Amino acid sequence: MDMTKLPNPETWLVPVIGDNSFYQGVKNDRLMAAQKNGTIRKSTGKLTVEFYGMISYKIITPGGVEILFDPFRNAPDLDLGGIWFLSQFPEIYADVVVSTHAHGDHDGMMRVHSPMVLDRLAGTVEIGDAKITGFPDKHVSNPENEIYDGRILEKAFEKHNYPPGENMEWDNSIILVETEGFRIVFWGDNRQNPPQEILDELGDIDVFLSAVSDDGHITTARWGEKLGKEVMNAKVVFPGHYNVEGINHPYASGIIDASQFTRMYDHTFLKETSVSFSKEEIKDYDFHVMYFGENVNWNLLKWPHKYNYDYPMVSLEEWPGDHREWTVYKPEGKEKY
Amino acid sequence: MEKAKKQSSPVMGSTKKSEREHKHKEMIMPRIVQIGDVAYAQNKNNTRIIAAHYYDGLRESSDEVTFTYYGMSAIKITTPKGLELFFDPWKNPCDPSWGGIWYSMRMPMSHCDIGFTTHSHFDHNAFEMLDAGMILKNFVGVYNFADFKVTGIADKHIVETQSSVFTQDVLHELYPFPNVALEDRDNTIYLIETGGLRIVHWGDNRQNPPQDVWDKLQNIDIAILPVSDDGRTLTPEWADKIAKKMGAKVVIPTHYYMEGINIPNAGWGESAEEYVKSHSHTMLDTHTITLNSDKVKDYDNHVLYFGENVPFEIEKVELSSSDDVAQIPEIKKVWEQYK
Repeated sequence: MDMTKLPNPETWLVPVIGDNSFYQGVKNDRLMAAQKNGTIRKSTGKLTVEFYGMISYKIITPGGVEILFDPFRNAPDLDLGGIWFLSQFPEIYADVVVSTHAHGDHDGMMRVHSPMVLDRLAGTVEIGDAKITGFPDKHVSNPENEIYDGRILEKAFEKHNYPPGENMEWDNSIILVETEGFRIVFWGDNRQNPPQEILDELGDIDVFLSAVSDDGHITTARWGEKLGKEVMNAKVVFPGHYNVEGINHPYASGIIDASQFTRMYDHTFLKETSVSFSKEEIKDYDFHVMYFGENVNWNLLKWPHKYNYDYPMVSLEEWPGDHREWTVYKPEGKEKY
Repeated sequence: MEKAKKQSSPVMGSTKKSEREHKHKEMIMPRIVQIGDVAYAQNKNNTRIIAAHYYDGLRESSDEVTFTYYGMSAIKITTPKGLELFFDPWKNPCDPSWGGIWYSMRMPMSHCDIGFTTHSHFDHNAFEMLDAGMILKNFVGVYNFADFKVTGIADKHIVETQSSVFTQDVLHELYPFPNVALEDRDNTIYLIETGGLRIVHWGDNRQNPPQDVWDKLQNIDIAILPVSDDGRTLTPEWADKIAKKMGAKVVIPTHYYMEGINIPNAGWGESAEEYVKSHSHTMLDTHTITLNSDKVKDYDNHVLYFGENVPFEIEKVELSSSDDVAQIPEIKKVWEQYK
């Protein structure tokens, strides 16, 4: 092969700051349908919840509006806590992306192909059969877990991390979605003690997409129970912000899974990557924990493989062989030119 | 596990073919190195947003809505109770090979409470230049907060301007990237209701949205339209038709050539002066104006023109025609410090 004739790739590299949906070829056709008809499909009466790793959940309303919460990414500055993720967030589609706050594990909106983004929402947005309300509040600064307290976090980030005078990173919006009688709360990384006014407005809920992991990096099991069971009377709880092998860097932030928390209550260890239920099906549940574990709704490469594959051993001679590509330049009849 | 969709390789420089190329066969898309959102770098916090959440505003109502023009389609609307809504901040493209450098300066980092973009073209989507409490990108739906309501109406970008200058052929030469001619590009029209005014920010929407969009755009007080004399986006004729269809009392032209901001001949020719002068008009000598329903009630298609007034300094570089040749500085012996 003549290396000088090898074509360059058809594409070129472009660093994009901010909005990149121009490059993604995203279209708002589904949103136009929702705007015109009120829904995207005939109502199924069921709410669908899918898990994408870290704290990223997608809910699909009965009318078909896909709302994705808090996709993750590695923050562009390594100074912001270093590498947290071993995988990039999948380039999936969602009708709406909602981000609760400006931290790398919550603001990877640029990975998602979506025609619309609600970043740090406050106020009420109505689209299709979904009503999305953002309650502006603050990020957790003292998680009260057994591993570290707020002062250690402040030292690790070298930033003042609680009000007053903290920067945008330490804010958080709690998101409430109301659709066909379902009330769903996505907690983000909110502090455990938001003002009573916010808790009053949240009221009783059906689904609590929480930030509970066993290490209590954001919400400890104790606070998860207090908020989800005692304050909001959640029927179904999904843990979040927990470690998934292949996604989270094992040494970043020290988070572990949420299986202990799950076992403490009525629970289901979900074997699928997506779960759907109607209001009727969950009406008798009281703080029932549904745990996706490592079942994320995309093709996650775990390396090294956790499970044994049935690969036959192939010898080096057989594959890939010893291809001496450079011998096309070998001088004729002598060793060197 | 459900069979997941095949993802394009996340690895820079990978030889794995991007999925994008299959979807859009007629266009060559670049591989992008995504930096994404940069709000973490903002020093301010959401105190104003929280205050507006609890108190429905930030001050007693002034009963007036304030408009501040930032060049291009960028306009800041301050509600009577002090919430600052910023629409369509602009920047040069991340990749200059797509449409070239348009601006000779960068829009200064500007404060607002809520940033909106109408679509993902770089002359409208620079939300990283906003020091904002929150961003609603290409928002569709009905948004209620504090003392305003914004309706994001999903439609499509303009394709055929019917301009005598910017014909399809000219646009194709100027912008070899996959532009609107090759596929539908999205655009959101914003209807802002605050202080008794109904305000429309048109973005770069097509001239002929479907009827259900027009139904939402009735009895408009103020229409912010991308109209210029050369018809770069909306021709004066189309601006008139659109303003008439919405019953607009006041039209604010945007998206026109401005010396010092726009680079000449980078797809830009003219301001909107001719258009303005052919209507009942007010030439503003300021970048900020306050309006309320009383002030606009007797107008009919009255044009308020900001001209070249923006709230930041524009440097107009005059090329020197002097014959003097500047002296080359003497060689500094920097190595001698190590003697």
